[in-house]
Amino acid sequence: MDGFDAADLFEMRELREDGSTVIALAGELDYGTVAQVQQRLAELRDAGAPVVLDLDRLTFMDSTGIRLVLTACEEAREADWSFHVTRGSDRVRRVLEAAQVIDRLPYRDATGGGAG
Amino acid sequence: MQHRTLPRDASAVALARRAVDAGARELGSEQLEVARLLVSELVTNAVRHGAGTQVKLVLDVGERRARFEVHDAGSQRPALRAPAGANGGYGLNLVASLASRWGADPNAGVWFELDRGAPDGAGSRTAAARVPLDGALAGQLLHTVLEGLAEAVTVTEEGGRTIYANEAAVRLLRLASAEELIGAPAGDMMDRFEVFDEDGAPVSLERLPGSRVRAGERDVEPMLVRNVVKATGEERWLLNKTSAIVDEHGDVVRVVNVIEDVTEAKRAELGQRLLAAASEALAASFDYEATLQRIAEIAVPMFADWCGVDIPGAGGYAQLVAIAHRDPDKVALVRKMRARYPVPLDRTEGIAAVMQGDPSFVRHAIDDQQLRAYAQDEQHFDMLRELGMASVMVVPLAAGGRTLGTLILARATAGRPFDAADVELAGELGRRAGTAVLHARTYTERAAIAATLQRGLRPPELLAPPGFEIATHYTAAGALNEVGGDFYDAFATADGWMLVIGDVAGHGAEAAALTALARWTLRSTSQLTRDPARAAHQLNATLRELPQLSLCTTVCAHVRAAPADGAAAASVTLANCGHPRPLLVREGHVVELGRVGPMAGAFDDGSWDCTEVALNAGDALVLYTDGVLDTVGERDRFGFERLCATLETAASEEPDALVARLATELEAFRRGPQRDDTAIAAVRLVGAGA
Repeated sequence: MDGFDAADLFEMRELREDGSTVIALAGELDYGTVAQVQQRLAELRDAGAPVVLDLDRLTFMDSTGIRLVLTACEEAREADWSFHVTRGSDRVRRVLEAAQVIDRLPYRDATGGGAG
Repeated sequence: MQHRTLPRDASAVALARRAVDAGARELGSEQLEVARLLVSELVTNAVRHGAGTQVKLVLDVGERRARFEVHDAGSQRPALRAPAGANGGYGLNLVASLASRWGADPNAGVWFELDRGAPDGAGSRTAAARVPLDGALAGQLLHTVLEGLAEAVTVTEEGGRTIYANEAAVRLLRLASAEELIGAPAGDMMDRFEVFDEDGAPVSLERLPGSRVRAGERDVEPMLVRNVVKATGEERWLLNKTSAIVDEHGDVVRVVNVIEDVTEAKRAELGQRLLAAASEALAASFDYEATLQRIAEIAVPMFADWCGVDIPGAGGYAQLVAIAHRDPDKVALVRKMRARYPVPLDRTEGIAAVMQGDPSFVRHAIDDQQLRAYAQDEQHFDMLRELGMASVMVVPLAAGGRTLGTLILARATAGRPFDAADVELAGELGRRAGTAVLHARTYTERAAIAATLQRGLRPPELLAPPGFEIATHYTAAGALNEVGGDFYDAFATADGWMLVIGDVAGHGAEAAALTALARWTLRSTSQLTRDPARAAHQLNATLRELPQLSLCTTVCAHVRAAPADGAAAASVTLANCGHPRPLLVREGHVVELGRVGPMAGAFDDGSWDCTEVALNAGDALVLYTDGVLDTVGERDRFGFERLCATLETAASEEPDALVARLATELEAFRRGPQRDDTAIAAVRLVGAGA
């Protein structure tokens, strides 16, 4: 379809910050792009590495993203794993609000995360 | 309408969004965002849970609404495939909360629509998603919702002027149109109504929730008021709920009043309350005239403006025995009118008709002409008018198939006629009051009978046999009509005196009759035979002849001054039918006398042996009933040990003092009400015989 590649619309970067691994997502997070995030989160979880998932630069997120975040939250609770998310872009926040989960997430700032 | 076919794989989700960007670009940016999100959800659903190799997207963006359909080979099945699991369901929740409407069917696949009322608004379901409503769509939506509501809704601005009223409000406030209300000051509407709280106190404008919210109060509770339309007298129960719309400074700029007509529910509740209050009043007293007065007072003013109770009186006229009027000053007027214009009971309507057996007499609406026709003269008419007779019903005070009297209820204003439910309620009230009257009358009759019997059963003073001193004590358990089952008697025989004490089973009038029978049987037999055993035998035979089981315990003691063996000063011969044994108090010691035979009335055959005991000067014989032993104290009953101890302490005293001591001890020992009758008789041989 017009040489369109969904992967072009999504980017995942990783950096270290204050002892945490910040996974910075940019672009559109959906069913087509979520797999690589899931895989990386699983690796970090298994390594016990604290993670901040940065949602501030996402231009699109649907319930696939909500599921990703909530599943990670559950795993963090069960495995005593440190997992946080950033406040999220406006569009992300509107979806979180519409799904009525916006008040239930473990937030943490990722200052400067993914700025480069 | 546009169709896009996408591969059924993970890339379809982003591709579908691109299709929405291309095909629905005329949607405003917010609605486009919602469309992209929801299409993503449906396509994700189709990719993850659907069937086939393709997913088809259908877009149809019209002027009024945009429709999106997602089909896959699996969507021939109409059921929605909601993602399972703890974190599932968010996709469909988003669709449900953000779409104006949505659904799934075999032909259309899974679809949703967004209404395009506002350029930048979302669908009508956005309230649930907490996306703020604004603009024309919000206005339109609000209008549709408000006009369809059964509850009256009004909106007032700061000064209290009404700026909005919905259809229900126009109807509830009995207006021709909303224009009558728009712009009217707050107090204007109040002038059309009389408003009362649940306790019947008038409610001023300031007490209504709307005024309180405007005055700055927060969390104002809903208020239930009784609203009477002044023009017609029509009565409604209205629940007022109010909320404030505040500006960014927190100041109240608008007040929204929601008024719910709860008349039906409230009247049903009041009916129940009325009956409950009436039942309570009826159970509280056996004074039936006082009870009927309370019934009348309970019915006023909630149920009727005035209420009266009549019973058949002297001379063929109704006799007013209870009256209550919401205006206490008019009670005298009713009495005056009835004195001047008595209600004859030979009429064919109203009180007379119901008194003669009609189930009810109801005039839902009475106009002046009808009232004038009923009135005996102009002055009577004026009185009736002043009382208020716009709607009247008369129901019987019915009990046991009889009409004992009538209950008349009236409302003074034309707007509040009695309806079928009111007549039914009044009928129930009449039945309950009737039963109470019947009970009260029966009680009064029984009490009178019992009192008469009791007087006959208790000889005020027993005459002492020659050479003896005698003292008695008697207390009956229970109220006036509970005639004691205990009795005692003393009378002369040919060669001595017979002293009798007894206790029949049961209480009340029946026990009294049995007591009389037992007493007179014992008296007549004893006088004929002078033999306590034969007296006991005869009592047994007499009781066995009665149709119902009738039991009696008794001791017959025949005291003779002439001693049988010539040595002692006197002797006593005893027969005992199941009664506590008499006690002999001699020189400070207490001894039980005789043998206990069967209780009288229990068996057809029985034998009672006599015991003869010689009495010395100074000996006292104490007869008592089981009420003495059974007197209940703090921890236990008075019992035989205490009885003996008391008698031993007082052994040397005169019978009067002995009996008084025992009575005092019993009274001091007793805790709680007396449960059983108590009788004590003591005789003491004072001299060497007569």
